[in-house]
Amino acid sequence: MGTIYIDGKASEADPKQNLLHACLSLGLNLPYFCWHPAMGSVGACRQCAVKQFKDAQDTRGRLVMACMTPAAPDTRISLQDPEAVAFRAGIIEGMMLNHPHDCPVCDEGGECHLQDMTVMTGHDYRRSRFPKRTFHDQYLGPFVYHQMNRCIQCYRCVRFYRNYAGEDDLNAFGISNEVFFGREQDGVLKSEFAGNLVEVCPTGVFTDRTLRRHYTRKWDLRMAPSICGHCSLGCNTTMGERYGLLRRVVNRFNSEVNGYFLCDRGRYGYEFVNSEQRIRAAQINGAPTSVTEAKRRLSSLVAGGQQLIGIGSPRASIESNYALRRLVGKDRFFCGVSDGEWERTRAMVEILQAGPARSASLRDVELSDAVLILGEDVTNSAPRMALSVRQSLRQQSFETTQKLRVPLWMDDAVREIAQAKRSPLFIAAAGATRLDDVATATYKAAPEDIARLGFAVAHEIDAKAPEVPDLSGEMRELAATIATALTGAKHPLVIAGPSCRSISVIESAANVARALCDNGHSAALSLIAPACNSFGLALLGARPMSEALAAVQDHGDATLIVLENDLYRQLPAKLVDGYLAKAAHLIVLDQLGNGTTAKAELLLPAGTFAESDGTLVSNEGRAQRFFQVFVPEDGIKESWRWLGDQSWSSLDDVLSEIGTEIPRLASVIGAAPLSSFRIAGAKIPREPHRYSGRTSITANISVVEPKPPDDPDSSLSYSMEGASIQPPAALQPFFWAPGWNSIQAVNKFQSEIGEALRGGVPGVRLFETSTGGGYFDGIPNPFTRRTQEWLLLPIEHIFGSEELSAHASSIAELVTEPYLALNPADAAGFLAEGKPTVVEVAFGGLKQRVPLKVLAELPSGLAGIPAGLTALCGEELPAWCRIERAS
Amino acid sequence: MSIVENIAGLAKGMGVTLREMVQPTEVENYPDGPGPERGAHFQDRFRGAHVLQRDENGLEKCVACFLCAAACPANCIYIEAAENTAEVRISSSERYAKVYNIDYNRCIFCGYCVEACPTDAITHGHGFELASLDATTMIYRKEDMLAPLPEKKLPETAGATV
Amino acid sequence: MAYLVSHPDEVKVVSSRFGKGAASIETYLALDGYSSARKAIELGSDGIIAEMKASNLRGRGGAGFPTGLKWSFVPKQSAKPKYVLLNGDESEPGTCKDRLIFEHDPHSAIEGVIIAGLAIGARMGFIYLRGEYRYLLTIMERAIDEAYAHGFLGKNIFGSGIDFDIRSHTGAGAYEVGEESALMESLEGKRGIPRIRPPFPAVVGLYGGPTVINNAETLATVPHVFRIGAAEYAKIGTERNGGTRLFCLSGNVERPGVYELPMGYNLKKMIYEVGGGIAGGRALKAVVPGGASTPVLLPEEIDIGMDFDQVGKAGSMLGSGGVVVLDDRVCIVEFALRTMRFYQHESCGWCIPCREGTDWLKKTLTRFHAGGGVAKDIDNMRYLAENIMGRTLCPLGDAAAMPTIGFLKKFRKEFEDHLDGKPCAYAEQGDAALAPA
Repeated sequence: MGTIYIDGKASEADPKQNLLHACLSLGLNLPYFCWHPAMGSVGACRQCAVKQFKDAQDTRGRLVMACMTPAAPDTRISLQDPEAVAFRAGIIEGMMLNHPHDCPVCDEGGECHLQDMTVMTGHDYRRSRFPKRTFHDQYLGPFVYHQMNRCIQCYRCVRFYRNYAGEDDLNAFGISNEVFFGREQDGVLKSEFAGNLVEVCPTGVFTDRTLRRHYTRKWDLRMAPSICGHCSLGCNTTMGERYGLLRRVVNRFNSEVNGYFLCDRGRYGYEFVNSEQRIRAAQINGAPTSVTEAKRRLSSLVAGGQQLIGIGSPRASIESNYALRRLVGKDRFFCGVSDGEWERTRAMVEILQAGPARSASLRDVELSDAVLILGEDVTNSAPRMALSVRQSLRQQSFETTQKLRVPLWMDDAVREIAQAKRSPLFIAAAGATRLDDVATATYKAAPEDIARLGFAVAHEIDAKAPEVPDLSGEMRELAATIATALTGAKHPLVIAGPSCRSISVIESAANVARALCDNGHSAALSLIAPACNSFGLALLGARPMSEALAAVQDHGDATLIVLENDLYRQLPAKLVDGYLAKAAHLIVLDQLGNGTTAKAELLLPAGTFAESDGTLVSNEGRAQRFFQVFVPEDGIKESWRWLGDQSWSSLDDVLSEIGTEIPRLASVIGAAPLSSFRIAGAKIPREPHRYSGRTSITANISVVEPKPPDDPDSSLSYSMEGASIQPPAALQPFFWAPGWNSIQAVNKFQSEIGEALRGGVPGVRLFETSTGGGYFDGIPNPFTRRTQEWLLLPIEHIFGSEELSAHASSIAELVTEPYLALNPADAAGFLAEGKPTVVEVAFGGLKQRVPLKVLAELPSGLAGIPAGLTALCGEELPAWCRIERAS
Repeated sequence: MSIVENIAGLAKGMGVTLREMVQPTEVENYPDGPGPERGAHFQDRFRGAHVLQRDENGLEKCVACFLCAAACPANCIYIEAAENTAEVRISSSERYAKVYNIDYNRCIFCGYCVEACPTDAITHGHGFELASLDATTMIYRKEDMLAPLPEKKLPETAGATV
Repeated sequence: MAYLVSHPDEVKVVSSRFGKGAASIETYLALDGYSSARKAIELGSDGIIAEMKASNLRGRGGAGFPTGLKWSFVPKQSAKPKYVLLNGDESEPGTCKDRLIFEHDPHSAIEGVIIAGLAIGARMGFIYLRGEYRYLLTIMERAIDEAYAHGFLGKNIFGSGIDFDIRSHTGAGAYEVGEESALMESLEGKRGIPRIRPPFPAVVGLYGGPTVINNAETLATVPHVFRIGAAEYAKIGTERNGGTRLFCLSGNVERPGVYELPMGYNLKKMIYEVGGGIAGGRALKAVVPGGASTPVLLPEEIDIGMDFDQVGKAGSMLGSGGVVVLDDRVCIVEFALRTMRFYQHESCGWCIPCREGTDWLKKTLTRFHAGGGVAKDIDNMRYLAENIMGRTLCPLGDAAAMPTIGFLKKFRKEFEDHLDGKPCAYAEQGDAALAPA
């Protein structure tokens, strides 16, 4: 840290940063547009001009752009200098020449960075009387709404989209004051991170298209901190509700996890909460019933003397799973996923617990400088991680940058220096991945061969690691290249996961990480979990499903309780049919109707993330709490409330009981402050102080203004009353600060810009490095293709493969049709001339007709079907299948 | 000099008083007077019951921007927005107020909503007979406040025989 | 074929082969061509740079940076390939010198690129022509082909064991690309937007490699420096301003054209003797001394030597050597408008003061010239121009602001004469100097 002088006042500043960063970190208000904490400076908007003085004697000074000037020690600047103030107002005036001033009809109004900055500079009068330029607006897909006239040409969108997210179909066109930001022609944006444009754009050019359908101003939203449940990464989100309808999701900054960005599945998946498939009332044998009746039936079934069998869920919170486990007894609590998935999930948890590699947070991923991905298309299985991997590719080029003494925030210069130089990224997968374009080398192979490559890399790094027999020369060479790249890096990272449905792939990744750590490299390991709380469920402990079948059979009159789990997606349909037929009674708790709920004797409406509190354990092993946004209509409750003990009065009770019962989850209670937490004796309001219409919202029902609901489970209140000053980060319901209405108000809550929130990093890490375990030696035999059979593998899709988000109407528009994919050579035998071909896939006595799709990168001998999108999604894969052309 | 000025000032002031003394006295003959307001007489600035205005094409001026609700110190305005479509066009902008309620139990007639309105959609009319013995009737809906559709003039030729 | 002019005061160095058919390599060789490149090979890298420093040659693009010094900044060792770039994106209104070089003496440009390449140890050079000079590309490409055919380019050039390649490339017609870093972006196939410095091109330039980028005239001068000797060349000009310069005399003079005159040649003499005086014997109103982006000089300010230092002292810039002469019929408001229309159209759209400022200025000037101006417009225009000046990412903003400030400062009266519905008092007299750009 050095000392800089701002308007004569000495302040501490990081000399590695620029003056804008320093000023904002100090809590000063300096307007800016093109600079973004995650994307650095490019000097386009000239908005952050300040006066810089040579020394204490210099009184004239000169204008510099704060974002382009290092905060070197002894720098003397003035923000209040009249010339600087006037220049900044002049810049806003320039931007406003063509801005339509249509705030009342603009979705950004009320949370617009341009509005905030305009007010900040004091520009309030339009002197220009010339007409404004207009543009054509484009259709950009179901997520992002385009209104180009509002553009102030700060270039943030293309910088995010092209440089940061690495996609190329959004660009700047034209010159002078007619620069157009959009696609070459109308069409769906290709990037899986396009939704971030909504937050990156400082004004209303890119707005949330789903919010438009049920528009509400930010100040009118009741908001709560939440955790995204649409994959295992546990990105932090803010959910907003009004009038009982979930309106939107925005990013909630977490320096260790998602930073400033979300993926589109996480941002737009929320609409399933409002879906018509929602179960809103309890049902007995399909007929709606009252809460009282449902409760009565539940207790009579539970107390009915039959054997209780509980089936948990990897997408339900720890609390809900625990409540079920407690109700049915730990020996009769089953995991709810296939034996294969359970084995892989438990293996991943054991690997991460045993160490020695650190379980990587997304920030660790971003800071790693050599990455090996085994068996995953992360963009589709854990989307936000792909964005972090892309950033990691810049790490090695930073060395050159630093040698040339160019600061890392000088974004364009840094990218110029880097050119095409990228940190090594190796991807071994059973098909094309969305990161192939930036990979140093890719290896397309069957799961067995991917695992063998992993084992071979581990052996290359550490001779003590088991050697792979019968390794081809080509593969040995690739393994050696990868090993060299990983050992040559400062922070190597290995990523693997369950997409290949192969435990060997996961074990081989563990071996690589162990080999690196044992040889003195500070390697990290990131294992992607199948669902948002798979690791939480594994830590809680449950018995495998195959034993559940035996239990059901043993007790012909068992009462089955299924928690937030569509068994038809987890297990083969035949098997599920068997279970359900055998059970005397079936109780199902879920949010959306599905195959399992259709068979329920007693169906209980479970709260979604928006309507319940709970804790999820992310793939990093970070336990994070999500909070209820609103109190739903009577009937919908958290599953743990339905199933829980009468003595539990709040979430704290559940958590403290979990802590006592299951010591390895004892720290989970610390994921967020207890419900008794208060700021100056007050709760933290979920509503902004501008929240309007409070007295009239229910006036059509009763003119008496109702008392806001109590929230026994958290220290958040359901009203605008309370203390909202710097709440603990895990309880931050939304970001707002005086003069900062946009999401960039997060600046005011960070310890330093871009760094951890002042209220701490939300969540607690459950996996810390230790030195247990040893090398795995279950090296599989090489894959050998069969002549008339194909190895059927699931292919993950960001849109559609996840159960809940697929019900969001915007995401549903982008869900792919079911298909069977074959490599071109394999497909040749089935293709009819110039016609779409439909084939029949047969395995294990099942048959399914699907259109044939040719996938160039799919290895020969493999067949792929989209995960979660066909009737086959519950079958245990990989499996050998036969394919015939359907007549 | 100042004495003369003072006297002139006094004379001017008294002049107004004297002139008013000889004007005929006006008494409001409410409620038995003529006109829709039954004899009540208001200054233009009087803030009575709200009127939601329409534009010259008969479209609602309200664009559902929520600024009135935000400005309302009594929090008595309830709005639900909906999007205009090519088939159903209610306002000239992108959105319109599908529901617009004012709770007159709580409205204090401060006029902030009118001040805040960027499209001059909400205005204070001169309606003042708002008293009710039943509080539940005090919730005014959009339909209660909306200005009537301008009478459509039929083209001259309509219906003419050829 | 451009019409060639000459005057006895000229010192023909760069233009010595103009009009002699030197576009053909045989003629070029007959005129002592490619001898400098051979000499340079013998001298080696350090020798070439020493010679260049001794010649006092300063960059002809506008900024006047000493060429030898620029070349010496390129690191000797580089992991990435080094490049030489010839900036032939001659787009400054009033400047048309590079065009003659490409048309009459393309091999001198090629030879200059080769020598620069030898100096910095590059193996690849690019000749970047302005988009509108597409017809010159044919000439240039033929010249390059000839040089390849003679073994002057390609593998083992001049039998020296050194490989050197040259590719030609045209822009798509953007003034901004004349800025060196924007040119590199354009050459790489990106939007022509200037880069942030540091890193400077000498360290990180084209495709991330160390790059020397010089104006076409600078590189075309290089072979002549070696031909006549650095010391001899330096003697031609004034101290610190070595050699000759191609001045593009245009506007209301009797004999407009490109003249090669020693640096420091008197501007007044240039107009009245070399250019033959003001056309039709009219009175001089103003002179733009270095291309449209330089501040205007009044008749009483033109008794100065044309080198970087003296013109700078007079409050303007030598720029690219485009001397535009305006006689008393020219309406300064209209001239300012034409200038601004150009810069508004060419603003790259990156940073706000220039992008929005030039647009507002153009609109105001258009209205102003049409008689719709009001008094506060004058101050507002001054304010807008000053808000651009020195506060943009690249010099295009300055290029637009400088002349505007100059016009407003020196011809305020003429602006005031246009106020409040008054028609342009000068328009009726015609505008010979302002044939459509």
